[in-house]
Amino acid sequence: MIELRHVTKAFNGRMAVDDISFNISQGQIFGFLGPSGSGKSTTINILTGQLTQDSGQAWVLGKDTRQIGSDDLLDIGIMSDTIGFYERLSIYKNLLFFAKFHHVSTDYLDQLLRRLDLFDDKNKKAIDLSTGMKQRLLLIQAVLHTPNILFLDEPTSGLDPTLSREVHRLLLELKNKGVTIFLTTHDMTEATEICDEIALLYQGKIIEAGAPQAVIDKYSDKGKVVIRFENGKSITVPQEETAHYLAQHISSIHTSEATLASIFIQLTGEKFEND
Amino acid sequence: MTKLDRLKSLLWLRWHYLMANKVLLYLCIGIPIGYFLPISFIPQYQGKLLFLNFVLNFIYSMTSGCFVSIMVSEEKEKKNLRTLILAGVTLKEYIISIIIFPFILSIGSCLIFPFLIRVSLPNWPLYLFIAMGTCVIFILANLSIALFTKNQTQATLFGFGITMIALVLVMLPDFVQNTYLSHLISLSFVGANTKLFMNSGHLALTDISILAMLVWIVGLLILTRYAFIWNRKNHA
Repeated sequence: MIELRHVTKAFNGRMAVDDISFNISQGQIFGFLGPSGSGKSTTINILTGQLTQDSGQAWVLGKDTRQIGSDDLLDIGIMSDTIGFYERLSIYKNLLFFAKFHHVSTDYLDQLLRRLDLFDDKNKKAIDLSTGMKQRLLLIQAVLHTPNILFLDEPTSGLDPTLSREVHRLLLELKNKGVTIFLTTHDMTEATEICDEIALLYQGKIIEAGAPQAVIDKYSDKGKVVIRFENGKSITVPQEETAHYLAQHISSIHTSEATLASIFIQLTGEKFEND
Repeated sequence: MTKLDRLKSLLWLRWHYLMANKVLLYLCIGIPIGYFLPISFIPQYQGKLLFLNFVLNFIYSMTSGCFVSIMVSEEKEKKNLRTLILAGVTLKEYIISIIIFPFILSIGSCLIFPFLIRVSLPNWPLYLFIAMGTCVIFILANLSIALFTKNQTQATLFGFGITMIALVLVMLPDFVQNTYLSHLISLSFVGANTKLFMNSGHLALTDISILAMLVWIVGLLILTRYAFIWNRKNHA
Protein backbone atom coordinates (compact mmCIF):
# COMPACT_ATOMS: atom_id res chain seq x y z
CA MET A 1 0.00 0.00 0.00
CA ILE A 2 2.67 2.48 1.09
CA GLU A 3 6.37 1.92 0.59
CA LEU A 4 9.42 4.10 0.97
CA ARG A 5 12.92 3.05 0.02
CA HIS A 6 15.95 5.11 1.05
CA VAL A 7 14.10 8.39 0.65
CA THR A 8 16.00 11.60 1.37
CA LYS A 9 14.93 15.22 1.18
CA ALA A 10 16.94 18.30 2.09
CA PHE A 11 15.92 21.97 2.32
CA ASN A 12 18.70 24.51 1.85
CA GLY A 13 21.32 21.93 2.72
CA ARG A 14 19.52 20.80 5.89
CA MET A 15 18.42 17.18 5.80
CA ALA A 16 14.69 16.96 6.54
CA VAL A 17 14.30 13.28 5.73
CA ASP A 18 17.40 11.10 5.78
CA ASP A 19 17.43 7.67 4.15
CA ILE A 20 13.99 6.57 5.33
CA SER A 21 12.59 3.16 4.42
CA PHE A 22 9.38 1.44 5.53
CA ASN A 23 6.50 -0.59 4.24
CA ILE A 24 2.83 -0.36 5.30
CA SER A 25 0.34 -3.08 4.41
CA GLN A 26 -3.37 -2.62 3.74
CA GLY A 27 -5.50 -2.13 6.84
CA GLN A 28 -2.60 -1.15 9.08
CA ILE A 29 -2.35 1.89 11.27
CA PHE A 30 1.20 3.16 11.05
CA GLY A 31 2.31 5.73 13.62
CA PHE A 32 5.08 8.12 12.71
CA LEU A 33 6.37 9.58 15.96
CA GLY A 34 8.78 12.41 16.41
CA PRO A 35 9.19 15.93 17.70
CA SER A 36 8.45 19.01 15.57
CA GLY A 37 10.91 19.39 12.71
CA SER A 38 11.84 15.71 12.71
CA GLY A 39 10.55 15.20 9.15
CA LYS A 40 7.00 13.87 9.72
CA SER A 41 5.17 16.42 7.56
CA THR A 42 7.86 16.28 4.88
CA THR A 43 7.30 12.52 4.65
CA ILE A 44 3.52 13.03 4.28
CA ASN A 45 4.13 15.65 1.60
CA ILE A 46 6.39 13.27 -0.32
CA LEU A 47 3.88 10.42 -0.03
CA THR A 48 1.02 12.59 -1.28
CA GLY A 49 3.01 13.95 -4.22
CA GLN A 50 3.23 17.48 -2.81
CA LEU A 51 7.01 17.24 -2.58
CA THR A 52 9.53 15.38 -4.69
CA GLN A 53 12.26 13.54 -2.85
CA ASP A 54 15.93 14.20 -3.68
CA SER A 55 16.70 10.49 -3.85
CA GLY A 56 15.07 7.13 -3.15
CA GLN A 57 11.66 5.88 -4.18
CA ALA A 58 8.18 6.12 -2.73
CA TRP A 59 5.01 4.28 -3.76
CA VAL A 60 1.41 4.75 -2.73
CA LEU A 61 -1.31 2.37 -3.99
CA GLY A 62 1.40 0.77 -6.13
CA LYS A 63 2.19 4.02 -7.90
CA ASP A 64 5.34 6.12 -7.79
CA THR A 65 4.39 9.19 -5.75
CA ARG A 66 5.95 11.45 -8.41
CA GLN A 67 3.31 10.15 -10.83
CA ILE A 68 0.24 10.48 -8.60
CA GLY A 69 -2.68 11.93 -10.56
CA SER A 70 -6.17 13.23 -9.82
CA ASP A 71 -7.73 9.76 -10.09
CA ASP A 72 -5.30 8.35 -7.50
CA LEU A 73 -6.04 11.23 -5.15
CA LEU A 74 -9.73 10.24 -5.11
CA ASP A 75 -8.64 7.14 -3.13
CA ILE A 76 -6.60 9.12 -0.64
CA GLY A 77 -7.70 11.21 2.34
CA ILE A 78 -5.37 13.86 3.69
CA MET A 79 -5.43 15.92 6.84
CA SER A 80 -2.32 18.04 7.12
CA ASP A 81 -1.20 21.63 7.49
CA THR A 82 -1.35 22.06 3.70
CA ILE A 83 -5.13 21.47 3.70
CA GLY A 84 -7.70 24.20 4.31
CA PHE A 85 -11.41 25.00 4.20
CA TYR A 86 -13.63 27.82 2.95
CA GLU A 87 -13.75 30.25 5.86
CA ARG A 88 -16.83 32.12 4.62
CA LEU A 89 -18.87 28.93 4.39
CA SER A 90 -20.38 27.01 7.28
CA ILE A 91 -19.01 23.71 8.58
CA TYR A 92 -21.90 21.93 6.87
CA LYS A 93 -21.46 23.58 3.47
CA ASN A 94 -17.72 22.90 3.55
CA LEU A 95 -18.36 19.23 4.20
CA LEU A 96 -21.43 18.97 1.98
CA PHE A 97 -19.23 19.90 -0.98
CA PHE A 98 -16.94 16.94 -0.23
CA ALA A 99 -19.96 14.69 0.30
CA LYS A 100 -21.31 15.71 -3.12
CA PHE A 101 -17.88 15.50 -4.77
CA HIS A 102 -17.25 11.96 -3.48
CA HIS A 103 -20.91 10.93 -3.74
CA VAL A 104 -21.27 10.23 -0.02
CA SER A 105 -24.71 10.26 1.62
CA THR A 106 -25.63 13.20 3.83
CA ASP A 107 -26.73 10.66 6.47
CA TYR A 108 -23.15 9.50 6.85
CA LEU A 109 -21.99 13.11 6.99
CA ASP A 110 -24.51 13.84 9.77
CA GLN A 111 -23.38 10.72 11.60
CA LEU A 112 -19.74 11.88 11.53
CA LEU A 113 -20.74 15.38 12.62
CA ARG A 114 -22.60 13.91 15.60
CA ARG A 115 -19.74 11.57 16.54
CA LEU A 116 -17.23 14.39 16.55
CA ASP A 117 -19.58 16.76 18.33
CA LEU A 118 -19.97 19.26 15.47
CA PHE A 119 -23.60 18.63 14.57
CA ASP A 120 -25.05 21.39 16.75
CA ASP A 121 -22.56 23.89 15.35
CA LYS A 122 -22.84 22.75 11.75
CA ASN A 123 -24.20 26.10 10.57
CA LYS A 124 -21.38 28.06 12.16
CA LYS A 125 -19.08 29.80 9.70
CA ALA A 126 -15.72 28.05 9.51
CA ILE A 127 -13.87 31.29 10.26
CA ASP A 128 -15.50 31.42 13.72
CA LEU A 129 -14.42 27.94 14.80
CA SER A 130 -12.04 27.11 17.64
CA THR A 131 -8.80 25.24 16.89
CA GLY A 132 -10.29 21.94 18.05
CA MET A 133 -13.39 22.40 15.87
CA LYS A 134 -11.27 23.24 12.82
CA GLN A 135 -9.24 20.11 13.55
CA ARG A 136 -12.42 17.98 13.58
CA LEU A 137 -13.73 19.65 10.40
CA LEU A 138 -10.50 18.74 8.60
CA LEU A 139 -10.64 15.21 9.98
CA ILE A 140 -14.19 14.65 8.70
CA GLN A 141 -13.16 16.16 5.36
CA ALA A 142 -10.37 13.55 5.12
CA VAL A 143 -12.33 10.47 6.23
CA LEU A 144 -15.73 11.28 4.71
CA HIS A 145 -15.31 9.21 1.54
CA THR A 146 -13.66 6.24 3.35
CA PRO A 147 -10.55 6.36 1.18
CA ASN A 148 -8.13 3.47 0.71
CA ILE A 149 -5.35 5.42 2.36
CA LEU A 150 -5.53 8.10 5.02
CA PHE A 151 -2.71 10.49 5.85
CA LEU A 152 -3.36 12.20 9.17
CA ASP A 153 -0.96 14.77 10.55
CA GLU A 154 -1.54 15.06 14.32
CA PRO A 155 -5.28 14.24 14.13
CA THR A 156 -5.92 14.57 17.87
CA SER A 157 -3.79 17.58 18.72
CA GLY A 158 -5.96 20.20 20.39
CA LEU A 159 -8.75 17.75 21.21
CA ASP A 160 -9.93 16.87 24.71
CA PRO A 161 -9.49 13.25 25.92
CA THR A 162 -13.13 12.29 25.22
CA LEU A 163 -12.98 13.47 21.62
CA SER A 164 -9.52 11.95 21.19
CA ARG A 165 -10.96 8.59 22.24
CA GLU A 166 -13.82 9.01 19.75
CA VAL A 167 -11.28 9.76 17.01
CA HIS A 168 -9.36 6.60 17.99
CA ARG A 169 -12.58 4.56 17.76
CA LEU A 170 -13.31 6.04 14.35
CA LEU A 171 -9.82 5.25 13.09
CA LEU A 172 -10.04 1.68 14.35
CA GLU A 173 -13.40 1.29 12.55
CA LEU A 174 -11.83 2.55 9.34
CA LYS A 175 -8.92 0.16 9.82
CA ASN A 176 -11.40 -2.71 10.14
CA LYS A 177 -12.91 -1.63 6.82
CA GLY A 178 -9.47 -2.06 5.24
CA VAL A 179 -8.36 1.57 5.26
CA THR A 180 -4.60 2.00 5.61
CA ILE A 181 -3.81 4.83 7.99
CA PHE A 182 -0.56 6.75 8.20
CA LEU A 183 -0.63 9.05 11.19
CA THR A 184 1.90 11.31 12.77
CA THR A 185 1.60 12.08 16.44
CA HIS A 186 3.33 13.48 19.48
CA ASP A 187 1.12 11.37 21.71
CA MET A 188 3.00 8.21 22.71
CA THR A 189 -0.04 6.74 24.47
CA GLU A 190 -2.13 7.19 21.32
CA ALA A 191 0.57 5.44 19.29
CA THR A 192 0.79 2.55 21.74
CA GLU A 193 -2.99 2.09 21.85
CA ILE A 194 -4.03 2.25 18.21
CA CYS A 195 -1.01 1.68 15.97
CA ASP A 196 -0.06 -1.69 14.51
CA GLU A 197 3.42 -0.45 13.65
CA ILE A 198 5.34 2.62 14.71
CA ALA A 199 8.52 4.37 13.68
CA LEU A 200 10.39 6.80 15.91
CA LEU A 201 11.77 9.68 13.91
CA TYR A 202 14.58 11.94 15.04
CA GLN A 203 16.33 14.57 12.94
CA GLY A 204 14.97 13.01 9.74
CA LYS A 205 16.10 9.46 10.58
CA ILE A 206 14.12 6.46 11.77
CA ILE A 207 15.82 5.47 15.02
CA GLU A 208 13.49 2.61 15.95
CA ALA A 209 10.56 0.82 14.31
CA GLY A 210 8.25 -2.13 14.85
CA ALA A 211 5.03 -3.11 16.61
CA PRO A 212 4.57 -0.83 19.67
CA GLN A 213 4.64 -3.69 22.20
CA ALA A 214 7.65 -5.29 20.53
CA VAL A 215 9.55 -2.00 20.72
CA ILE A 216 8.54 -1.56 24.37
CA ASP A 217 9.58 -5.16 25.20
CA LYS A 218 12.93 -4.63 23.49
CA TYR A 219 13.80 -1.77 25.84
CA SER A 220 12.15 -3.11 29.00
CA ASP A 221 14.21 -4.74 31.75
CA LYS A 222 12.65 -8.18 31.57
CA GLY A 223 12.66 -10.13 34.82
CA LYS A 224 13.29 -6.98 36.86
CA VAL A 225 11.00 -5.04 39.16
CA VAL A 226 11.07 -1.50 40.46
CA ILE A 227 10.62 -1.24 44.25
CA ARG A 228 9.60 2.17 45.56
CA PHE A 229 10.09 2.84 49.28
CA GLU A 230 8.05 5.08 51.51
CA ASN A 231 10.98 7.47 51.80
CA GLY A 232 10.68 8.16 48.07
CA LYS A 233 13.71 6.15 46.97
CA SER A 234 13.39 3.38 44.39
CA ILE A 235 15.58 0.54 43.15
CA THR A 236 15.43 -1.88 40.21
CA VAL A 237 16.19 -5.49 41.18
CA PRO A 238 15.76 -8.99 39.67
CA GLN A 239 12.30 -10.41 40.40
CA GLU A 240 13.71 -13.27 42.52
CA GLU A 241 15.34 -10.79 44.91
CA THR A 242 12.05 -9.02 45.70
CA ALA A 243 11.54 -11.10 48.85
CA HIS A 244 14.69 -9.60 50.45
CA TYR A 245 13.03 -6.18 50.57
CA LEU A 246 9.56 -7.11 51.80
CA ALA A 247 10.40 -6.37 55.43
CA GLN A 248 11.16 -2.75 54.56
CA HIS A 249 8.70 0.14 54.15
CA ILE A 250 7.66 -0.41 50.54
CA SER A 251 5.10 1.84 48.84
CA SER A 252 4.94 -0.04 45.52
CA ILE A 253 6.44 -2.85 43.46
CA HIS A 254 5.95 -2.94 39.69
CA THR A 255 7.56 -4.46 36.63
CA SER A 256 10.17 -2.38 34.91
CA GLU A 257 8.49 -1.67 31.56
CA ALA A 258 9.70 1.04 29.22
CA THR A 259 7.34 3.49 27.48
CA LEU A 260 7.74 4.87 23.97
CA ALA A 261 8.57 8.22 25.56
CA SER A 262 11.30 6.73 27.75
CA ILE A 263 12.66 4.79 24.77
CA PHE A 264 12.84 8.01 22.77
CA ILE A 265 14.77 9.68 25.59
CA GLN A 266 17.04 6.66 25.89
CA LEU A 267 17.82 6.73 22.16
CA THR A 268 18.20 10.46 21.63
CA GLY A 269 18.90 11.96 25.02
CA GLU A 270 16.06 14.42 24.30
CA LYS A 271 12.45 14.68 25.45
CA PHE A 272 9.39 15.14 23.31
CA GLU A 273 8.44 18.78 23.74
CA ASN A 274 4.94 18.07 25.04
CA ASP A 275 5.78 15.11 27.26
CA MET B 1 -19.60 8.92 -9.10
CA THR B 2 -19.41 10.47 -12.56
CA LYS B 3 -17.25 13.33 -13.74
CA LEU B 4 -20.43 15.33 -14.28
CA ASP B 5 -21.40 14.85 -10.62
CA ARG B 6 -18.00 16.11 -9.56
CA LEU B 7 -18.32 19.14 -11.80
CA LYS B 8 -21.81 19.82 -10.46
CA SER B 9 -20.50 19.69 -6.90
CA LEU B 10 -17.76 22.18 -7.79
CA LEU B 11 -20.32 24.52 -9.36
CA TRP B 12 -22.44 24.16 -6.22
CA LEU B 13 -19.39 25.15 -4.16
CA ARG B 14 -18.66 28.16 -6.41
CA TRP B 15 -22.25 29.36 -6.18
CA HIS B 16 -22.28 29.22 -2.38
CA TYR B 17 -18.83 30.80 -2.21
CA LEU B 18 -20.05 33.63 -4.47
CA MET B 19 -23.18 34.17 -2.39
CA ALA B 20 -21.06 34.39 0.77
CA ASN B 21 -18.58 36.86 -0.74
CA LYS B 22 -19.89 40.42 -0.98
CA VAL B 23 -16.75 41.86 -2.62
CA LEU B 24 -17.09 39.43 -5.49
CA LEU B 25 -20.81 40.10 -5.80
CA TYR B 26 -20.09 43.82 -6.03
CA LEU B 27 -17.45 43.22 -8.71
CA CYS B 28 -19.47 40.90 -10.88
CA ILE B 29 -22.92 42.40 -10.49
CA GLY B 30 -22.45 45.78 -8.80
CA ILE B 31 -19.99 47.18 -11.35
CA PRO B 32 -21.71 46.31 -14.63
CA ILE B 33 -25.29 46.77 -13.49
CA GLY B 34 -25.07 49.15 -10.56
CA TYR B 35 -22.61 51.56 -12.17
CA PHE B 36 -22.88 51.40 -15.96
CA LEU B 37 -26.59 50.69 -16.15
CA PRO B 38 -27.68 54.19 -14.99
CA ILE B 39 -24.89 55.88 -17.01
CA SER B 40 -25.98 54.12 -20.20
CA PHE B 41 -29.29 56.03 -20.06
CA ILE B 42 -27.54 59.43 -20.28
CA PRO B 43 -28.52 60.79 -23.74
CA GLN B 44 -24.95 61.92 -24.62
CA TYR B 45 -23.76 58.31 -24.44
CA GLN B 46 -26.62 56.82 -26.43
CA GLY B 47 -25.54 55.29 -29.73
CA LYS B 48 -21.81 55.80 -28.97
CA LEU B 49 -19.79 52.81 -30.09
CA LEU B 50 -16.68 54.01 -28.25
CA PHE B 51 -18.63 54.22 -24.98
CA LEU B 52 -19.78 50.63 -25.50
CA ASN B 53 -16.14 49.65 -26.08
CA PHE B 54 -15.15 51.37 -22.82
CA VAL B 55 -17.96 49.66 -20.88
CA LEU B 56 -17.05 46.26 -22.31
CA ASN B 57 -13.37 46.64 -21.47
CA PHE B 58 -14.32 47.56 -17.94
CA ILE B 59 -16.55 44.49 -17.73
CA TYR B 60 -13.79 42.26 -19.11
CA SER B 61 -11.33 43.67 -16.58
CA MET B 62 -13.61 43.58 -13.54
CA THR B 63 -16.30 40.95 -14.08
CA SER B 64 -14.03 38.50 -15.88
CA GLY B 65 -10.54 39.44 -14.69
CA CYS B 66 -10.62 40.74 -11.11
CA PHE B 67 -13.37 38.29 -10.21
CA VAL B 68 -11.12 35.36 -11.08
CA SER B 69 -7.94 36.79 -9.63
CA ILE B 70 -9.61 37.61 -6.28
CA MET B 71 -11.36 34.25 -6.05
CA VAL B 72 -8.36 32.10 -6.99
CA SER B 73 -5.74 34.05 -5.03
CA GLU B 74 -7.90 33.84 -1.90
CA GLU B 75 -8.42 30.16 -2.57
CA LYS B 76 -4.67 29.74 -2.83
CA GLU B 77 -3.87 31.81 0.24
CA LYS B 78 -6.36 29.89 2.41
CA LYS B 79 -5.04 26.53 1.13
CA ASN B 80 -8.37 25.72 -0.57
CA LEU B 81 -6.72 25.30 -3.95
CA ARG B 82 -4.33 22.64 -2.57
CA THR B 83 -7.30 21.02 -0.80
CA LEU B 84 -9.23 20.77 -4.06
CA ILE B 85 -6.21 19.44 -5.97
CA LEU B 86 -5.51 16.83 -3.26
CA ALA B 87 -9.19 15.85 -3.22
CA GLY B 88 -8.82 14.80 -6.86
CA VAL B 89 -10.19 17.83 -8.74
CA THR B 90 -8.80 17.79 -12.28
CA LEU B 91 -7.51 20.76 -14.26
CA LYS B 92 -10.54 20.71 -16.58
CA GLU B 93 -13.01 20.60 -13.67
CA TYR B 94 -11.19 23.40 -11.92
CA ILE B 95 -11.02 25.69 -14.97
CA ILE B 96 -14.67 25.12 -15.90
CA SER B 97 -15.80 25.78 -12.34
CA ILE B 98 -13.73 28.97 -12.18
CA ILE B 99 -14.73 30.26 -15.61
CA ILE B 100 -18.44 29.62 -15.62
CA PHE B 101 -19.85 32.42 -13.40
CA PRO B 102 -17.63 35.31 -14.55
CA PHE B 103 -18.10 34.13 -18.16
CA ILE B 104 -21.90 33.99 -17.97
CA LEU B 105 -22.11 37.35 -16.19
CA SER B 106 -19.69 39.02 -18.62
CA ILE B 107 -21.38 37.66 -21.74
CA GLY B 108 -24.75 38.56 -20.27
CA SER B 109 -23.52 42.14 -19.90
CA CYS B 110 -22.08 42.07 -23.45
CA LEU B 111 -25.53 41.08 -24.71
CA ILE B 112 -27.45 43.68 -22.75
CA PHE B 113 -25.32 46.81 -23.07
CA PRO B 114 -25.53 47.31 -26.88
CA PHE B 115 -29.31 47.50 -26.41
CA LEU B 116 -29.10 49.83 -23.42
CA ILE B 117 -26.65 52.17 -25.16
CA ARG B 118 -28.66 51.76 -28.38
CA VAL B 119 -25.71 50.86 -30.54
CA SER B 120 -26.56 48.97 -33.70
CA LEU B 121 -24.02 46.29 -34.38
CA PRO B 122 -23.75 45.14 -38.01
CA ASN B 123 -22.53 41.64 -37.19
CA TRP B 124 -23.86 40.22 -33.92
CA PRO B 125 -22.37 36.70 -34.23
CA LEU B 126 -18.90 38.19 -34.84
CA TYR B 127 -19.35 40.63 -31.96
CA LEU B 128 -20.33 37.79 -29.62
CA PHE B 129 -17.51 35.57 -30.84
CA ILE B 130 -14.95 38.30 -30.13
CA ALA B 131 -16.59 39.16 -26.80
CA MET B 132 -16.42 35.54 -25.70
CA GLY B 133 -12.80 35.19 -26.85
CA THR B 134 -11.70 38.41 -25.10
CA CYS B 135 -13.59 37.41 -21.98
CA VAL B 136 -11.83 34.02 -21.89
CA ILE B 137 -8.46 35.74 -22.39
CA PHE B 138 -9.06 38.03 -19.42
CA ILE B 139 -10.21 35.11 -17.27
CA LEU B 140 -7.25 32.88 -18.16
CA ALA B 141 -4.69 35.68 -17.80
CA ASN B 142 -5.97 36.53 -14.34
CA LEU B 143 -6.25 32.85 -13.43
CA SER B 144 -2.59 32.30 -14.35
CA ILE B 145 -1.55 35.37 -12.39
CA ALA B 146 -3.49 34.23 -9.31
CA LEU B 147 -2.04 30.72 -9.56
CA PHE B 148 1.53 31.96 -9.78
CA THR B 149 1.43 34.80 -7.23
CA LYS B 150 1.91 34.25 -3.51
CA ASN B 151 -1.08 36.19 -2.15
CA GLN B 152 -4.12 38.32 -2.94
CA THR B 153 -2.20 41.58 -2.84
CA GLN B 154 0.26 40.42 -5.49
CA ALA B 155 -2.53 38.98 -7.64
CA THR B 156 -4.57 42.20 -7.45
CA LEU B 157 -1.50 44.26 -8.32
CA PHE B 158 -0.62 42.18 -11.39
CA GLY B 159 -4.30 41.94 -12.39
CA PHE B 160 -4.51 45.72 -12.23
CA GLY B 161 -1.50 45.83 -14.57
CA ILE B 162 -3.47 43.85 -17.16
CA THR B 163 -6.42 46.22 -16.80
CA MET B 164 -4.17 49.24 -17.35
CA ILE B 165 -2.46 47.69 -20.39
CA ALA B 166 -5.87 46.81 -21.85
CA LEU B 167 -7.20 50.35 -21.35
CA VAL B 168 -4.07 51.94 -22.85
CA LEU B 169 -4.13 49.58 -25.86
CA VAL B 170 -7.78 50.42 -26.48
CA MET B 171 -7.17 54.18 -26.35
CA LEU B 172 -3.87 54.29 -28.27
CA PRO B 173 -5.31 54.04 -31.82
CA ASP B 174 -7.23 57.29 -31.22
CA PHE B 175 -4.07 59.24 -30.48
CA VAL B 176 -1.24 57.56 -32.37
CA GLN B 177 -1.37 56.93 -36.14
CA ASN B 178 1.48 54.49 -36.58
CA THR B 179 1.41 51.37 -38.78
CA TYR B 180 3.72 49.33 -36.55
CA LEU B 181 1.85 50.29 -33.43
CA SER B 182 -1.55 49.45 -34.90
CA HIS B 183 -0.12 46.10 -36.03
CA LEU B 184 1.13 45.51 -32.50
CA ILE B 185 -2.29 46.36 -31.08
CA SER B 186 -3.91 43.91 -33.52
CA LEU B 187 -1.71 41.15 -32.13
CA SER B 188 -2.37 42.06 -28.49
CA PHE B 189 -4.87 40.27 -26.22
CA VAL B 190 -7.47 42.98 -26.84
CA GLY B 191 -6.56 43.34 -30.53
CA ALA B 192 -9.68 41.77 -32.04
CA ASN B 193 -11.98 43.70 -29.72
CA THR B 194 -10.20 47.02 -30.38
CA LYS B 195 -10.15 46.49 -34.14
CA LEU B 196 -13.84 45.55 -34.20
CA PHE B 197 -14.78 48.87 -32.61
CA MET B 198 -12.28 50.87 -34.70
CA ASN B 199 -13.95 49.46 -37.83
CA SER B 200 -17.47 50.28 -36.57
CA GLY B 201 -18.33 46.66 -35.91
CA HIS B 202 -16.94 45.23 -39.15
CA LEU B 203 -14.12 42.71 -39.17
CA ALA B 204 -13.27 39.76 -41.40
CA LEU B 205 -13.13 36.36 -39.68
CA THR B 206 -9.73 35.84 -41.29
CA ASP B 207 -8.31 39.03 -39.78
CA ILE B 208 -4.93 38.62 -38.10
CA SER B 209 -6.33 40.00 -34.82
CA ILE B 210 -8.84 37.14 -34.59
CA LEU B 211 -6.10 34.61 -35.23
CA ALA B 212 -4.01 36.37 -32.55
CA MET B 213 -6.97 36.13 -30.14
CA LEU B 214 -7.14 32.35 -30.64
CA VAL B 215 -3.36 32.04 -30.20
CA TRP B 216 -3.64 34.01 -26.94
CA ILE B 217 -6.33 31.61 -25.69
CA VAL B 218 -4.28 28.51 -26.51
CA GLY B 219 -1.13 30.05 -25.00
CA LEU B 220 -2.93 31.02 -21.80
CA LEU B 221 -4.51 27.56 -21.53
CA ILE B 222 -1.03 26.02 -21.67
CA LEU B 223 0.22 28.50 -19.07
CA THR B 224 -2.79 27.77 -16.81
CA ARG B 225 -2.18 24.03 -17.08
CA TYR B 226 1.45 24.54 -16.05
CA ALA B 227 0.39 26.84 -13.17
CA PHE B 228 -2.15 24.28 -11.91
CA ILE B 229 0.42 21.46 -11.92
CA TRP B 230 2.96 23.80 -10.26
CA ASN B 231 0.47 24.37 -7.44
CA ARG B 232 0.26 20.65 -6.69
CA LYS B 233 3.76 20.90 -5.29
CA ASN B 234 4.57 22.53 -2.00
CA HIS B 235 6.82 25.50 -2.77
CA ALA B 236 6.97 26.83 0.77
